[in-house]
Parts: sequence; C-alpha cells; structure tokens
Amino acid sequence: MADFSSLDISASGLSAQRRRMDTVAENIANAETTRTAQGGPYRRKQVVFQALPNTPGGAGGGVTVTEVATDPRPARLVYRPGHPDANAEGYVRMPNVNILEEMVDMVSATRSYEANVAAINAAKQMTRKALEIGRG
Amino acid sequence: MMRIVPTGATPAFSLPAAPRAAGGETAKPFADLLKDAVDQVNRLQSQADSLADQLASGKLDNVHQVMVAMEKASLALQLTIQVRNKVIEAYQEMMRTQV
Repeated sequence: MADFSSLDISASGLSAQRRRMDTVAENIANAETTRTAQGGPYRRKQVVFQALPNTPGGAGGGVTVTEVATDPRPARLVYRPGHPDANAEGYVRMPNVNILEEMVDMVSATRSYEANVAAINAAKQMTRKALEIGRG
Repeated sequence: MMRIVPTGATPAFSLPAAPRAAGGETAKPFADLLKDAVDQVNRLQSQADSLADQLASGKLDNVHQVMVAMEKASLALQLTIQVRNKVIEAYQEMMRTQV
C-alpha cells in the first residue's frame, strides 16, 4: 500500500542503523584482536550507506548498506615484548580501532535510530489523524 | 449578444455515460474494491503474524521489522473499521428514510 511507503523508508533506515551498530559492536569487541583469518591484526570496519532509488509514483526509496568497508589506516604498533604476536623488536601490531571514535559512532547510530523511530511515529500519527476525518 | 449555453453541454453538469476509472477501463464494482481491501488487510495481518513467529523462534533478529509490520496491520485494520462504520452509517441512514 502506498500509504505505508514512509513506514518502509523509515524501516530501511532502522535496518541500516542497526547494521552500523553491529559493525561498531564488532569493532569494539575486536579492539585488541591481533589475529584474524586473513592474517595480521583486526582491521576496523565501517558501513557505507546508499540511497535506494524511488519511483515517481512515490513508492520505494530508503537507504541500504551497500558495503562494509575496512578502514585503510595502518595498524597501531604497541611495544609489548611478552606478547606471542610481537615482532623481533618487541612491537605488536594492534587493530586500527580507536575506542573513542567507536563510542561517537555508536551514539550517532543510536540517535539516528531514534530519529527513524520518531519519523515512523509521526507517519503513524498522520494516518491515525486521517482516520479521524469521518469521526466528527 | 450573449450566447446561451445549454446546461447539458457544460462539463460540470454533463453526466458520464458509464463509470470509468482513470486508466480508461471501466471502474471496478464496489464489492470487488471492498474484497481487495479486506484481502490486503488480511495479508498485512498474516505478514505481521509470521514475522512475530519468526522473531519468537529466533529466526529474525530485527525487532523493528516486526513492530513496523504490526503497526501496518493495525493501521490497515483501523482503516477497514472506519470504512465499515461509514457503510453501516449509510445503510442505517437509508433505512431511516420516510416513505
């Protein structure tokens, strides 16, 4: 039903922010991970959003996560000679995850999620108000 | 001198030959429209039900999908109830007509 396209659009926003939250959680969980299946330390991941095309009729639209990109920044070198993954000089290559950055991203994702919920409630309220037209 | 235009020729007063939809084909009967609408409400309700089942059985981890589906179903049902109220109202109005 075309009446619910704003609900669908906001729902796509909710899904996208949810994915963003998942990647933030993964980054925080792996902030100290020195081993991965690809070898080397964990690389920070970030979501890339893309707008979905909407038709002139009003249907469609919204947002989707097109890719989960890895952060190209170099790994942090931490001097920890006792670590099993330390190199000959005693340095360990740690993930390029900055916890502060992740916290900010997390707050941003939470707030965006809330904004989408507010948009859903507003759309719902509009439909409710439209149903009140005949009641008077 | 002013020309006198017959009322039948003015667009506002001319009666359409047959009810026609915007697309050019003849309009659907009211019963079909009603049936389609009820089918759609039913579809939304069963969609919400199946999503709720999936969430409860752990196949779905997005709570918001279920909530949005449930809201859609609820709004569609409320619209149906309003249409029904209007139809009943019209029927009762007709039945109250003095003959």
